[in-house]
Amino acid sequence: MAQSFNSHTTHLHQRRTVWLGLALAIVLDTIAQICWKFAVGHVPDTIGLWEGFVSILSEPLFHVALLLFLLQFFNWMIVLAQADLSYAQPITALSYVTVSGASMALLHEHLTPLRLIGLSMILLGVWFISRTSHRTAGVVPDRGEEQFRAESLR
Amino acid sequence: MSPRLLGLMFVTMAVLLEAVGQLAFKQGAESARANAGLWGLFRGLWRNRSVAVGIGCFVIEVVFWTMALRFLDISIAFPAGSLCFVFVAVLSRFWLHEQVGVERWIGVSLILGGVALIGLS
Repeated sequence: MAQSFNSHTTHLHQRRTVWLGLALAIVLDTIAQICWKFAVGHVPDTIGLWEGFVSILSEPLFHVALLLFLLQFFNWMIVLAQADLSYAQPITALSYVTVSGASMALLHEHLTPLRLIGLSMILLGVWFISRTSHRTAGVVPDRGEEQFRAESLR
Repeated sequence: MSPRLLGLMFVTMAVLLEAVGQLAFKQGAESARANAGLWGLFRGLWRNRSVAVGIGCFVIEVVFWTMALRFLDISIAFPAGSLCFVFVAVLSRFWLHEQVGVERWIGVSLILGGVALIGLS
């Protein structure tokens, strides 16, 4: 009884950490993508493939995007250490919604009915996935699960 | 080779690399979490072969995506790129043996359709 209560609270706590990590992943991804979009936008279309590639490398916004990707990497590892890949990865599709929102606000892009339906479908899809348990039980040995939690809380 | 075919080839490569990269990251994270604590996790990522493979995949993927977008319209590249959700779900199921039930498949299908519509709009 006490055992099952304990594992239940562990599960809930882990789920909260996973959701926090996923939220951060979506925010980082959104800002990185917007920076990327601006950086690429500064490069003229007329120049060749290689010249375009080289000129992106010197864009400050490109450097910001790289830094955000680095942060994203560590955040993503924390998420993946605790959640199924088939749970965490599709939930990041929410960044399509946030990038669309940001593009509307910053780049004054218009929201067409078709795009609205698409975004709603993504939201619904993410809702379906978020209803499932974030981690398949017993597939990966739960070595150090309790310890991992205790240590990361310290 | 037509630009469109070339572009689709780049997208396919990018999508496959994305799925394999995610798989490698997942395996890296799983092996690293054997070390206790957050710091232990990060230390476990250092000189981790799976993580290195994952990073390699993403670097090449970015190059392929950039190429693809030069040859393809967003309305084709976007829906094609969303196929990575399917590849990741399949690989998670058969390689990592994760439980991918009906709800996750419904979710992935809806996301796939949604991204396709955004590409078309």
